[in-house]
Amino acid sequence: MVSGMSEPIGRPAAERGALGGRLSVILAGISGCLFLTMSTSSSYTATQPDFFDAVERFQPYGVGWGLVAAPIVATVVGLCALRWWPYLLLLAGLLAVPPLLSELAGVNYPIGVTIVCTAGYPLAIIGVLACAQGLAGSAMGWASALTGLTLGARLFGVGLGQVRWGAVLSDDLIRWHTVLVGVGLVGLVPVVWGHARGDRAAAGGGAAGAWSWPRLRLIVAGTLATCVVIPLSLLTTQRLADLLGVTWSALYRHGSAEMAVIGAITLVVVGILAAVAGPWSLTTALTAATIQVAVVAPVSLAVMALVGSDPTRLLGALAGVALGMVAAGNRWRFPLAGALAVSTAMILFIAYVATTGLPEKLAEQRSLIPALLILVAITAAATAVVGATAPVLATRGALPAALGPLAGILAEGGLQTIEGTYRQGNLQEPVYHNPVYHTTTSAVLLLVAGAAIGGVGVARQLAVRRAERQHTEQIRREAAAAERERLARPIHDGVLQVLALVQRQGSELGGEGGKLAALAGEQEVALRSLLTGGTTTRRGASEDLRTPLLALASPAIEVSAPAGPVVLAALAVTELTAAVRAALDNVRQHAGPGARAWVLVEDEQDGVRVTVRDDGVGFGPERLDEATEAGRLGVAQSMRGRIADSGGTTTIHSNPGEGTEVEFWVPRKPPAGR
Amino acid sequence: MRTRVMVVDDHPMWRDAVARDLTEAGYEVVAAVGEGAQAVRVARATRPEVVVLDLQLPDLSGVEVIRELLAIDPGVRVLMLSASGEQQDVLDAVKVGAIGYLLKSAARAEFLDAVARSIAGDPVFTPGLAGLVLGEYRRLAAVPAPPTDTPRLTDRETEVLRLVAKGLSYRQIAERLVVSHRTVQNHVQNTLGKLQLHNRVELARYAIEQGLDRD
Repeated sequence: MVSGMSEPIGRPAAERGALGGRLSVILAGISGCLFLTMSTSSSYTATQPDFFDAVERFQPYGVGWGLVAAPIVATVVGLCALRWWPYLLLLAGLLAVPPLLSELAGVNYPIGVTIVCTAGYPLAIIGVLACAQGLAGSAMGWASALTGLTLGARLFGVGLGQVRWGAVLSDDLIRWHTVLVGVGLVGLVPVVWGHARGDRAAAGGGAAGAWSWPRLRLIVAGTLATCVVIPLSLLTTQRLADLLGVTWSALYRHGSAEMAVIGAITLVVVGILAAVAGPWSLTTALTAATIQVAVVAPVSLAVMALVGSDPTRLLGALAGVALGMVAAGNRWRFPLAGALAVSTAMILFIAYVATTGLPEKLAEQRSLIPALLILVAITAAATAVVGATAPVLATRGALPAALGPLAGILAEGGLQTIEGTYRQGNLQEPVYHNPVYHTTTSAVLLLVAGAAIGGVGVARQLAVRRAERQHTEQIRREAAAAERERLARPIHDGVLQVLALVQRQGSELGGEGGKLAALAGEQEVALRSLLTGGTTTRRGASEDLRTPLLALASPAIEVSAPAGPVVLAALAVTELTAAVRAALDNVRQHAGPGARAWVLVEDEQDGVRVTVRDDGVGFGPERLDEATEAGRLGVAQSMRGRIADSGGTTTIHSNPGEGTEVEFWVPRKPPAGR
Repeated sequence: MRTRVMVVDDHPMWRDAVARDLTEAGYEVVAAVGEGAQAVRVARATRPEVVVLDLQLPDLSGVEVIRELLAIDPGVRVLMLSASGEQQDVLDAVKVGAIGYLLKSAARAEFLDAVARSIAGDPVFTPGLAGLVLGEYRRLAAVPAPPTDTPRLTDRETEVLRLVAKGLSYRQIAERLVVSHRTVQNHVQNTLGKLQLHNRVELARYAIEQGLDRD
């Protein structure tokens, strides 16, 4: 979790030229959004997703399975081919043509064509999000605005189609669709034309390999989320009743409960899948889904209130979307999105109170100004909140997966759950009034979404700060190493040489000269270990045993070791160093004046051997016990226990007049192997 | 005839002190220079028998200088003198053919003894160098390679080298192992000889693989 939260600082700039300029990319992204607008602005065929509705369970048979399979296939293809997003968008645009032709000329297609055309919607969403992801490296503002537009465009489509429920397909709307599909396809031309080599940045940054787990898990989670509809379709009312331990008729009478259960199952399953995709994907997908559920009631209310006042309604929706894009596109996107969400919630609360708890009055009385205010505010808030999630997702390559299938299915689950609460059993209110009862719930959800996007902003800020701190720390460390290097050279060439010279010549002068020589010797060793210290080779929990032991060297103590690092577990290094120190203390105290000591470090295949020898007075074997009792080996004996704890052994040899030799052997722990 | 010695050290005070000691001890100091390239040029003309070399020179690395010196005269004895604990440098220098190594802080008598031993062809081992050589043999043994290619120490050689590394003198080692002083010297010489031979074989193999032998 923690590592997943780290924020890479800066990323390689998107390869320009490969896509023939940023402008054509932005144009293509907006064109893709036009297809989204079209797909939410009419409701007369199965080719269009029910933006305001949960996916109904149905019993697929025969070709009906195609209806289940088409969006799944589209999601897999889309998530795998992010790099080729212009072609995904082109495909989505072309899939919008047959429904348009049937609108224009009443062409009737075989059911297969209709089914294939349902793949256009997921393709368009993933394509636009991939486009935004590719833009994030060079133009984060546009990337965020475009991300917001994926929801904004769909909301505008809802406004365009007037009211989904009961609306007829007007000539006006057909004209709009022709324009949307036409302009969209034309807008794709420049980028498709200059798009031979794919947009590598759109595939989620070049750092991770093409099929590495971080990328693969997004594809897997996104695909499985769209597949949730399959088990849900197989879960008939009867089976669900068995599962819950109630009778079929009870569940049938309380249809709302059944819906809510299905919605809850969806939420839980897709929530887990989103968690698989990563912590940032989970939080942002939940945030986007929350706002998507929250918009339903206010948008329905506003659009119903504004039916008939045509340019006003469209301009209002357009203004809201534009406002949201501007909010998402600048660097204060997190506070702005949060503020928009909270203000919209306030407006809804006021609307609820002002209508004495009957917000549908706004629709019935066609209250222009309040409805317009709600429409602008809610579209702006939704666009801004979704757009603000782009920076955290784009840097992880998770934008298409998290905001596409994951957020989409989560929103469907959420809608289904919430819908269950406003159906009174099977006695439904007039359908078109239904969502309006949820004005206050929407307001609460808006507050939640506002808080969530604020949280995401804060978390991102913290992650960026931490990455910056790490970066600074690394620079500092490198600078320190360079400085040490710079100092080491002249000290090696000058000071150490002079100290060695003083030591050499001074010892021959006798008297004061000898003391001077000894001092110079100590200083030389101290200075040298200061220069070599701090260059410890650390490998996780293992350390180089040579570093602490070489620092023990002095004129009276010579340390010999291999030229390469002697790597041991950090604990073993600490214990061995302490043991060697104790042995050297013993030499100082008991070996007699002028005794010298040698420390030998040997890197053996299965362990490390450290020998401490002195040329002091020594003692006979019969005196070892006596010495132990007298406390002469007290410290060394206590070390024996610690060395034994790390699985090692301690041996002590001594003879009168031959000095003492203490040998420590510690096995190399398997994980610390070289 | 007096033994010809060259002193290479970039520190003028050191150079003078060492040269003076050597002259007083009866050696003929043919040159005292401060740079590696200069040392190679001068050696070509003066043909020293012993070179007292500081490993840290401003221009060439100690290894490069030793290689050049040996190319001029394969019989030259290079005794390294170093103030620093640059262990890898010391090991590399020994592998290309230096006969011994001494810390600069060693006393004058110790130094003159080392020079005398170098002339006799006896390797001059500090305990530190013995530790490095031991480590190198262990490292080579751990690297997967055909067993015939890897130089190995006999048990006796390992024993001797370990005793050197623990600070025992050749005389003490001879006493402890109940062998002659000469035998101890031979063992130490062998450990170095095998390492240097291995190094030359590796270099030659590298040259053949790279096609360097064809021109």
